[in-house]
Amino acid sequence: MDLSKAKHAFVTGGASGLGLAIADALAARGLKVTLADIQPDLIEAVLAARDERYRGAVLDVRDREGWARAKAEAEAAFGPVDVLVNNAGIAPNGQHFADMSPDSFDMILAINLVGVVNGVFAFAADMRERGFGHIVNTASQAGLSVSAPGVGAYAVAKYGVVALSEGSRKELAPHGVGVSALCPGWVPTGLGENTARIGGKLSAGGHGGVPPTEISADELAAMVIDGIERDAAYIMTHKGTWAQVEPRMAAIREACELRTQG
Amino acid sequence: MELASARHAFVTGGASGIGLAVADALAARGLCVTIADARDDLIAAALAARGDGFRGAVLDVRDRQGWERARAEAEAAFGPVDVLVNNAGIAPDGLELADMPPESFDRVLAINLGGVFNGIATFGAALRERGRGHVVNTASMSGMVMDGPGVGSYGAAKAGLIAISEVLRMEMAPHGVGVSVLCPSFVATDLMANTLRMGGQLRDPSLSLRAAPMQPAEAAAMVVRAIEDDRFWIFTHPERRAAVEERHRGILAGFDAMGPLGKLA
Repeated sequence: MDLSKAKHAFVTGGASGLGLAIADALAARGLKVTLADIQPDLIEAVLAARDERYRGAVLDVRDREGWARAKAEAEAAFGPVDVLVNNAGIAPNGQHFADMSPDSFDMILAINLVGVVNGVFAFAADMRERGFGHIVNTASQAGLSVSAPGVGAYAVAKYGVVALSEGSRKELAPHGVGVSALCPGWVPTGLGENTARIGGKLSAGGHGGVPPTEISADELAAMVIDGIERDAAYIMTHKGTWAQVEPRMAAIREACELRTQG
Repeated sequence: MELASARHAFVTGGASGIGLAVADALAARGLCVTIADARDDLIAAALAARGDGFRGAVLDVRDRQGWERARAEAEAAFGPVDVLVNNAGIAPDGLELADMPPESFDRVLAINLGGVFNGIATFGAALRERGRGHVVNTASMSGMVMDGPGVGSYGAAKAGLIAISEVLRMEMAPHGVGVSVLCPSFVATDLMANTLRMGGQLRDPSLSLRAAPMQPAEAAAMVVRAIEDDRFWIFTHPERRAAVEERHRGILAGFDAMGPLGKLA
């Protein structure tokens, strides 16, 4: 999309980490930004250091009525939302499926997958009607390939987010609305801490075997801006992701060939 | 796995369509089969035409206590389950996401994805402990490729199901338990009618898969071979390969487009 024509961005998980970096990058391009976050103290701290181009919205992305309220208040202040960044999410729980508590599975799915579609439910029909808008869904490289045991529920949700992004992209493209799936590797943010604060379980072993890289949240946000402007279907940010995605594709190709040969 | 050493298969959505065909194919290989299904009338009809090697279990895959009950009863009769076929599922409502009632999304996700998690939560630890067994999850080509408008909820659930399968395979392989994921395109089943009976919605209720060229028995034969060969991916419709490759090219283009910014990595 042409970002110079966009006026208002709504960013979930917007009060820290990747969400805040994307919010700042959009504000730097002239957009007003609603920082939606489940943690009011984080919102307050962030707003204290910023100006009137920012507003906060306390939102648990699982809460559909909360979405409707947050949307109404945000749009009353800053006008219709042009850019929706469905970024809120929690970390993997590190459990194998055979040991995973159903509650832990449900929580990751509810926040990381249903929380994203709730954003689509809240804003997509308006964007389609206005014929303008862009949605960025924060998936993960774990939405394209799985790297290690213990990323189960997280990978399930993120595969789902990539699929939702692809599906809504097809549905909204004819109406001038773009959708991008953001598929980063690991970025140093407060993900682990935030997960613990909202009651999620955390894996002891770090990041599903994905080694940390040197990409900062700000660098990643610049790639997101670029992806919005290009209307990229997939915003890839870590070249190392290739090494995980390509072997999966090769295995699928081989399995398809096996079938073709009968 | 070696099917000759397997005794008991538990198949959800087992009273019709692909589930019943897989149940029959496994029974033909000597396994006892528990046909788990949400519909008792279909179970009764299936059992009436079959022998002692079959039992029924009325099970809504969303019901976690129901899973425990069904497992206890099934294993009391036929012994420990060696093969779990998570096959129950409903069709998408055909609506675009922007128009979809949230409850419709929830229903598809709860049955098609949550239902499979429940099966794994019920049987996974026991399979691992016994050090043998196989899990088959019925996903869909819609989990590999997002086809046109109106399949958003279904595609998201099936993509998630593929992820469950990929991770489960990694987790179970060291313990001698195999995992396969079935990714069919259209198969001649009663998916649409069953979806309506489960409270699901269809934009076009007259849609039927009955005329689909692939019969459930063909898909079931591929499933049995994959279990025996411990093959993970089960693709039934080679004509869909081009669409899969096109999606892959799209993802790879995402890497190409990283440009100077990507050099940061």
